Amino acid sequence: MSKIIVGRYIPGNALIYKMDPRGKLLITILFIFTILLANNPISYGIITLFCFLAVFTTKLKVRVFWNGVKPLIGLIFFTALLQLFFMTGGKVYWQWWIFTLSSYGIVNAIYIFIRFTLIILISTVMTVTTMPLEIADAMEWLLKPLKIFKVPVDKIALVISIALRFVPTLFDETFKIMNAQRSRGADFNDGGLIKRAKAITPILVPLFIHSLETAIDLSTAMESRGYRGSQGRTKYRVLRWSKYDLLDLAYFILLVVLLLIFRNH
Amino acid sequence: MKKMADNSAVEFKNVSFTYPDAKKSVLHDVSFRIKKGLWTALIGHNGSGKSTISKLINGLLIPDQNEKSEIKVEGIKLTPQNVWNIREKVGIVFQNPDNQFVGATVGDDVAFGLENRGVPRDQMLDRVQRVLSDVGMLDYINAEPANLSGGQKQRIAIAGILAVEPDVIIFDESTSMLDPNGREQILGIIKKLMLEKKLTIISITHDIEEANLADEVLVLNDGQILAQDIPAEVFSKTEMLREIGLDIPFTEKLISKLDQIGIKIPQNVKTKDELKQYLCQLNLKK
Repeated sequence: MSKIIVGRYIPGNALIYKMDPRGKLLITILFIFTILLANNPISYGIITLFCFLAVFTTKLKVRVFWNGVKPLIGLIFFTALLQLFFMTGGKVYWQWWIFTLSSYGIVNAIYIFIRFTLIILISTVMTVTTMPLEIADAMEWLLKPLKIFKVPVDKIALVISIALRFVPTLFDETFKIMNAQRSRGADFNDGGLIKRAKAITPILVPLFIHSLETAIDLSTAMESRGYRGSQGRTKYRVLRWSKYDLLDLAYFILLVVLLLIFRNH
Repeated sequence: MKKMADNSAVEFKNVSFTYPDAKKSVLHDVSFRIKKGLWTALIGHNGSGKSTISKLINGLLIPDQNEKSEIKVEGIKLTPQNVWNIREKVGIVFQNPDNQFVGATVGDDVAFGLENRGVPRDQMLDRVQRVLSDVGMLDYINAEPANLSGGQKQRIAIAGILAVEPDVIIFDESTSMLDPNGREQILGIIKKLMLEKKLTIISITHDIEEANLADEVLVLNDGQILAQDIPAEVFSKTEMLREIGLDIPFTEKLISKLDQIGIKIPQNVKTKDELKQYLCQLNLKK
């Protein structure tokens, strides 16, 4: 049937899989900010080392991470090149019109390159080792403080979990509709931009109607099973902190301490 | 009279229903009783109002305003105030297995009804395990719906309903989108449940063979009850069934075919077993 792996999650049984998704999500977000702490070769070295440590603990093939970086490689090089040729200061090696190649530029380009790569790598570690459902649960936990501002966090959580549950179902439906239209002579891969955009209509309209019908059926089923809003509901799925979560916490604290020691003040 | 009312799980009195914007009503002045602890099959052609009845029973639809009209479930009159109490007593397994799966995994889905009722988590874990083993799906507790077959999804839906322990389970054409194998499994589970847990089963169906397994059959035509009797009686009225566009069971078809080639089957032979016995005896006589 469907060969789509939900999100980009790849099942495994390394230690990092047992960690609480809340910890992983929080540390991933904080890690991205922590990169900004690094400002000299030693601190960049440390953070790169820590990032590779995280990548290593997933016990996954290098290829997986390469696939994560690949789509953004153009952006990385573009930004690095901008830094390389527009940054002034330090020793100037080469100059032509508005372009300058200076020692500052070279160093900054390398830093930017490292930063980008690390951000992509660490977020890949997160998405690859955590099920989308767990990410949704972790997001719900992170949103919880918003309850003070009357944000309906429980409802948002239900919406996210239903949306995630229907992603593979709707993918299947899309392929079915495409094949049905193909068997009637529709052509989705040829022609110019406008022709291709027009070819999407026979997929989009039935898919839209199908989604609405599904929504009505699902809401009827939910209601007949006693759903009347998030009030008074208990939860089947709960997240528990375990001893493994001390590991990723320790990893992060060590990283921050080392960076604070070795960065230039 | 009072005693009789006690053993009915569902009672309709003079119920009519018209969908908004529709000119004709779907049900006109329908009255019937469904007996407790039995399997009742509701049959009728497309658009005869079968599914409407199931939605009226648990208050998903509200009948037309009428003083005499009354719906009672387990002796409780259905009113807008106690709709949620009625829904505690009635569980519905719907037609499309994909569109009633709420949870992202099997365990989540079965627990959904329990979550809604505020059942504490440790009790919930026990009950989810128990009902999943009842329907033979315990191994799939962490599976996602996209990886299950239609029959498996319907079994999960049944488990989700069993978890909240209702008195009445309605199967609203629940086997119509399944392959023969999945259908067989679901029917087996229905039969088992009815006997083990003393539940009232109402199955709405197009499948005559499925209706033949029930204890009682209710025939619906254009929003009116045409007959309510044991399957053998209902299906022997082949003329009536043909007239309202329904199929007849295999046994009846066989009897009429035998009739055509000159083997007369007596009137009192109605069920599959009776026919089998009669034909064997016929063989001996020759």
